[in-house]
Amino acid sequence: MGDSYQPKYPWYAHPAIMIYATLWLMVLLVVGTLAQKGMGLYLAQQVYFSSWFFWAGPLPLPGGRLVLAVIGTSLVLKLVRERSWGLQMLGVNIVHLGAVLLLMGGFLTAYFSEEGSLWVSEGETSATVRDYHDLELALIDTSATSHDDVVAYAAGWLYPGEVITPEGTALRITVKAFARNCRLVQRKAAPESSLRGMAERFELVALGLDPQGERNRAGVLLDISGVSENTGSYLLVEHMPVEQTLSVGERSFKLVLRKEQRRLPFAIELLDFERVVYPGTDTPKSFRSVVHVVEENGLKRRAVIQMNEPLRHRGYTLYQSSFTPGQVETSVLAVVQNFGRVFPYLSSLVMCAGLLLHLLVFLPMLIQRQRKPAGSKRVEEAAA
Amino acid sequence: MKRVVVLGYYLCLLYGGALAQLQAEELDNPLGSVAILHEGRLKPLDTFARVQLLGLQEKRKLPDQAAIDWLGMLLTRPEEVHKRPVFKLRNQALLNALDVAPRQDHNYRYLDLSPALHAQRGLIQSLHERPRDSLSLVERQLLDLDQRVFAYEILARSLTCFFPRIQVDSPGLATRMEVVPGTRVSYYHFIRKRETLRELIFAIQHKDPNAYSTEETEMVGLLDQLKPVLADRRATLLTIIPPAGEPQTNPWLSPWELLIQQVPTPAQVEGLALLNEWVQVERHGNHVAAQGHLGAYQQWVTAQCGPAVSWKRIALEAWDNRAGLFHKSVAFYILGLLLLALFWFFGKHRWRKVAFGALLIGIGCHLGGLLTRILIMQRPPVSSLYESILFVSFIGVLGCTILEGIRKNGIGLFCATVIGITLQMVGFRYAVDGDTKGMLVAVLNSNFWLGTHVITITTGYGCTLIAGLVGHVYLAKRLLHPQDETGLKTLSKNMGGLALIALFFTLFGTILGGIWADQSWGRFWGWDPKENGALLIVLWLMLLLHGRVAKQIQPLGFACGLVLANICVALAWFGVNLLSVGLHSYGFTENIATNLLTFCSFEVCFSGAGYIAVRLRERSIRSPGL
Repeated sequence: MGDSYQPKYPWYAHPAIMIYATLWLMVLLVVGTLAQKGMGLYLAQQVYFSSWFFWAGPLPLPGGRLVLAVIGTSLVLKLVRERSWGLQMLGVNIVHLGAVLLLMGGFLTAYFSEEGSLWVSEGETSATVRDYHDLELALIDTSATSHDDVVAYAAGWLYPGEVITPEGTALRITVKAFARNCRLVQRKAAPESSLRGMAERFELVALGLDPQGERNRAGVLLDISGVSENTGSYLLVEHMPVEQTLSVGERSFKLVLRKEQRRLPFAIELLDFERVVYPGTDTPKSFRSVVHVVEENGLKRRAVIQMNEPLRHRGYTLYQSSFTPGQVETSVLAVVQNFGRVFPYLSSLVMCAGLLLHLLVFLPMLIQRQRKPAGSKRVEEAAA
Repeated sequence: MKRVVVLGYYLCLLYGGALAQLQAEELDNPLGSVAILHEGRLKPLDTFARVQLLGLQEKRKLPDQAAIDWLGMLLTRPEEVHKRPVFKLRNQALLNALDVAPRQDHNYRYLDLSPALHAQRGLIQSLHERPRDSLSLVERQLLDLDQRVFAYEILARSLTCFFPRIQVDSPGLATRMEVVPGTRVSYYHFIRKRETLRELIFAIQHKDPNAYSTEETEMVGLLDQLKPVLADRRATLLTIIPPAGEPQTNPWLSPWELLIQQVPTPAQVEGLALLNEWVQVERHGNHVAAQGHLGAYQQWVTAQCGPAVSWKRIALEAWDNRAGLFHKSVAFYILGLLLLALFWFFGKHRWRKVAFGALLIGIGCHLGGLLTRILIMQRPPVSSLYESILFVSFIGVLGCTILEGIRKNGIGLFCATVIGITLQMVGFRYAVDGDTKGMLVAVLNSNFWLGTHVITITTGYGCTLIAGLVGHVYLAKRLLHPQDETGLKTLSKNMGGLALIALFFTLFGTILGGIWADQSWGRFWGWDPKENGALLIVLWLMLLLHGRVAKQIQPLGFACGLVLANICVALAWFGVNLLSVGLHSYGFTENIATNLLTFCSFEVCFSGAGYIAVRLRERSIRSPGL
């Protein structure tokens, strides 16, 4: 037995789209999760979930974004063209609407949100947010005594052959070599005359990417030309112990390879960082930072940031992320600016309401004992 | 007929009573209610004793002695306990390495192991310096054994400051130290004249040894006596003395710590005196009088702490340890299953009703166990992997009980008992990791989110398991009773309903998890293994339901799909901890991989074989002999 009736579907709402897209998403989930062991969380996210395509050998396969876009589009089209809004379908339609909201939120977050970390020590103030992954090459003009002028070039410039010509200078900075993860090795051969600073004694050795993203230390070899003095090769690595400087005439510059930095429209002054442990143990019970939020006009407001209780201010959300211990403790706050923040909350309310409605309508029928219609038994016996 | 049902209920109660008798523990030892601040939490010494014994014995009690009695003896008369076989060792190679004669029951005494380990001191030292991953199994077990014996020694020496081990013979010195010459006194007694001792030591430090008087020479001898006594000063595990400050946030003190590292406050001096009296009376073998002294100490502690400490909760925990509610619940689930078998065999509903009664008693014990946990820990019972097992099994059994209450055909009963028994058994294996009532790290330390996200998602796991189990039942029924078409149709509708409920909870639980992550870490979804696992369950259930509605999947396929949903739950629940990646790796286990693989293979085989068998059977029915 069983129903042989197959309803007709418009092409965009055919169940096959949803079934195959969901199946493929499940495959991605399994493969992407297993891959995290080997390549680390961040890289696995980038390759399998945040991409439109990824390569399995010579074969291009759909990535997470493509699958979610397909599901999202199909859902939207189905909702727009939906005819039946009666009680039977209302719950389901509401759930689908909630799902669309969730996917929209995901889209906004993926393309418009920014994350970073803010490091501030007790008694100090900071408004600098460091990106977690993206690099920049910063050229800092330290000539003036009252301030520094910074021009920063995003990671897109860091490819061999790229030429950077900063405005207002005659400098020509050519990228000769770049490695996302590297090691410095002492030069064995005698240094050539064109090598400057660190490059005189060390050279860059590229390494494979570490699964733990934070451990990767980027390095770049630059060739400076276009000016009359101090031209040659300069070597920069992240977290360099000795700053690489360059003098051209009366101006002096610093060259730094670092994670992208952004400035907040307000500053955070750390008054006190407190780490409470369970008595007699080392297990942390709570972390909290007591801060002043300092506005541009100098106004200070006291705030407390602790685990599960972030600070929300002017579109930014600051979370207690980590700390570095010591005499003077440094609090590390995670700073997130996410326009799609409200969507998951909205979507969860909508989806919950829709499912509850659907359950209330259908559950009594599904769980109850089935009542046989009169006379049907004889019909069944005759048919058998 | 009614008489039989009543008889059945009486049988259940008798069974329960018999169980209770079998598990009857020793008379309540007042030492069990003494509070100790251990691993960040104020707990009864009874729990502490069980956990310590667990580390040595792999069980929470000795064959002939309760943990707390063993601890009491170890603290006051360690010489006797050293002669008892307490350490469990199974590895023959390890015994050979230590040159220890193997024993039938695998239990070894401290007196045998301690010299054996001393002989291997050099080897153990060099093993400590190498990374653990590079060691062989025997080497790792050797280090573990060394750790366990060391922990045992630390525990055994906790109260030696009260044992009389110092003797002063010279009358002059004895008078200055206010002791009776020629008798042995304890360090506790001796150190009351702390200042005098310091002066004496100072005096001889700056003097030429050749110019010592007899008294000063005896001083040197005294210092030699003190050396082995003071070697015990690191035995600071027994933190049973409340601090001078707030008792819930400040670390408690052990007697040695109080005597050596701090100057006791007048109140603490009083407490030490009471403890000393108890130790002396215990050592003399007068247990009854000793209990009186222990009671006095308890009263002093209660007075010290004031209302800040909830003694009711500590007493409740001591009771809970002895009650073994979860073991009792399993016993009743097994009884229910056996009675259900009688129902299936004889077809009489009276057996089903009695079985249902047993199930109700079982779920009552299960619920009781969960409620006591909530009262003791003051948080929802889902804070660790072990607790989630207890909760999911409860939800599973509860859901199936409700199903049985509605449908009254034994299927709910079967599912309830199977879920209850299997999951509780899994839970028991996790309970050997030590004290299951641990403190939570900062990020988890939120009753609100524990009560919303974790409760919802674990309820979702439970409901998916119920749906999966009903899927198994459908496949079995389709194979064994294919003629009961109405029954199959109803079962199919039940499966649909259960899958829908499961989808509701897992979907909502996953989203709540995302919201919690957004509140804590700043991102709603991070493609973390745990998040991916939960999403896997949601997607699979969603897929099955969509396929069913769109008539792409028939009831048979739907049932197979639900069986496979169990795999999704197992992977999301236990599998992700094997990866130990991401912000979610809280549960730590070993050897889970094999069990997980076995379970998943079984489900795949059941599902596949069931499907093929049904299809073959139906094809042969439709076209017999062709």
